[in-house]
Amino acid sequence: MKRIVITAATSAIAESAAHIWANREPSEFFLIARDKAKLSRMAANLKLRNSGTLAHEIVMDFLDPKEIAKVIESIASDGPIDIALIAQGVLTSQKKAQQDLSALAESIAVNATSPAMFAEAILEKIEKQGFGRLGIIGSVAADRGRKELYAYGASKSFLETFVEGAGARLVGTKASLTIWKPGPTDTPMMKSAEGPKLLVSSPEKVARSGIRAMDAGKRKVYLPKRWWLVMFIAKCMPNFIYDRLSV
Amino acid sequence: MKLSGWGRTSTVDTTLVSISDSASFANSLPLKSMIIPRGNGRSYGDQALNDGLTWSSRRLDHFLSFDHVTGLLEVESGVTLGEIQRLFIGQGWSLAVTPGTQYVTVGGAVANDVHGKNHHSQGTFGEHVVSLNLLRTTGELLECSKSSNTNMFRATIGGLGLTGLITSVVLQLRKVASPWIAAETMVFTSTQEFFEQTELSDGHEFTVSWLDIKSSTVRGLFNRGDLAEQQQLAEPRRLSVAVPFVPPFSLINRLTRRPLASAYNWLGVRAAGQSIAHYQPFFYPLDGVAHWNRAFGPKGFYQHQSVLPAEASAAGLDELISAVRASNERSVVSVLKTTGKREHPGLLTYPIEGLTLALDFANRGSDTFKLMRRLDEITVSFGGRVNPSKDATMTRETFEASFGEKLNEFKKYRDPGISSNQSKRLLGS
Repeated sequence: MKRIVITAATSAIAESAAHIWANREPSEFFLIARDKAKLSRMAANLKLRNSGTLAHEIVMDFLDPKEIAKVIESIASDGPIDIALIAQGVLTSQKKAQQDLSALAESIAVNATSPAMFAEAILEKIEKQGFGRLGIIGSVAADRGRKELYAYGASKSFLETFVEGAGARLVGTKASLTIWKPGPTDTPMMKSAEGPKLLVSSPEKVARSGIRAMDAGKRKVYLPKRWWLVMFIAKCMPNFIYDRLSV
Repeated sequence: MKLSGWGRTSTVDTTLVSISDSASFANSLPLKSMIIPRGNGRSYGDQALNDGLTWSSRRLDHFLSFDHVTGLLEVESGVTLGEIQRLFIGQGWSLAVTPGTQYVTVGGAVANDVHGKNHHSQGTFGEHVVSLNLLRTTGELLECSKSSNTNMFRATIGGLGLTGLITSVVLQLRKVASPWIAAETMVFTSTQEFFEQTELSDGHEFTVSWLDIKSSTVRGLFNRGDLAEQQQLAEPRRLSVAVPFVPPFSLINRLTRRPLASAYNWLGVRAAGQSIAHYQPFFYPLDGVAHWNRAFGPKGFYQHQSVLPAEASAAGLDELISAVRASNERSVVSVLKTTGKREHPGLLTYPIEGLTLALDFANRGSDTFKLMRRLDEITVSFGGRVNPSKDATMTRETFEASFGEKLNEFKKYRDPGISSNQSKRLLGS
């Protein structure tokens, strides 16, 4: 039985991923979230739809380093971590981040500090084990800062550098670290953001492709893949053009 | 975005709000504009259409709890009946009542208090609803059952979505031994023979008949069945055919209707007799063809379903058949089904004891519309009811004649923030 850890387990992409894994084989899930009621609902659905699934519900503070270390330690003390997905993120609007410094600080804490702490705690375990797949959800917005969303993009780009280095630590083992880079996805998180509905994909599709990349041990994956091309073009653009685009 | 009903006869431009968490959504209420809840869009007419705002329940798709001893299942309203059947039939439990498609949501099945081939033995879907949670547009969340908020419970079952958004439902599942049905098909060549076969089939749980209205005679196939024991049979492979796009004209038309009906009849006659059927093709024959509603072309189609009281069944049926013959319209899929004497779980539960007739007509404009009105008149004149879940054309008078005093009672429980194009037509708001 695979042992799978998912943080921000109630978020749409994480929930879809959990169902894909549970559908593959009976697994034991460690589901971590902040909201108890939402987590119970998600866990009940996961177990009922996939017979043989075990699920532990863990409600905790996502910003407390001691608690994070303790929780991961206790999960790993009973057996290996085969798969882990770190999915927390908050899409703070640029306007809000500019006007309210505490919103800016929260955005950086949830999108960068918290995932990094979880990743570090889990990395230590899978590096020791010599196997395990760790996924972490970044964003296409990390590739180039844009005036409409740079606070969010910058917090996600922190994860890129983190994964570059941390992934290198695992070379030569059967363990791997993959950063998922979804474009706009039809999730409740996106509902609060303004933006064109074009190019929006479903959380199920994003999860399926993200898991495939983790299976293959890739360091980085654009979800869906076409975002690689879009962001490549965006990155190549000189500032004097890019700054004038309202993207 | 543009939305229409399953019959595709009218379209609205509406804002679709997908609700994924009812508790946090409730905090954002009330809203300024009128809304209508919508499930999987399988209501035929304008039941789930609103020009302003539409609340989609499709992301309220969680299974919440199941008791393996009692068979009580709690699900959110956006779960489809097919998902429940697939998950539980293998574990020995099934929905007690299912309509002719598995692609409806639980919320939609409650709001239309749907029935199936076993109405005479199991009643409507609402009879098996133990309790439900209702979100009013004020933000108020009500738990409704036979013991709490009883009136709201009765108004919501069959309430066409007008009392609030159903967020979750507790259903009583029934025990089944297998996914198999012991089925039997018989041929009939007159309505009299149909009624005789009906009488002889009293002891069978499921009955339904396909009717072919020819120019001077009728013929048909009478199907009956019962739950079967476990069989050593391989589950049938699901056909996955689809009507991939809307053709520029109805594929079901003057030229094709007769050959289609004859082919169907020929197949039925060949297969007449007893057989073991898998529940999927038995309960959901049309689900094998995705988007079959597109076959009727850009103008769509109407379904007319009426129920006639038992004592007027034979005379009423003859009159309805005559009206179809007198028109230029022809129905390719006509379905007859007897309904039993049951307690009505909902205020607007539609099936009275008697006979229901469902007719599908390609929409050919005012001629089709006139026929729909004529069928309404006949139904009402025999003391029958027109099914509001299928309706796209009936008048307020027909609706009032169908449900009488119950409508005034129903109006007390409507959510003031909800209206559909149908409710505007049938209730004035």
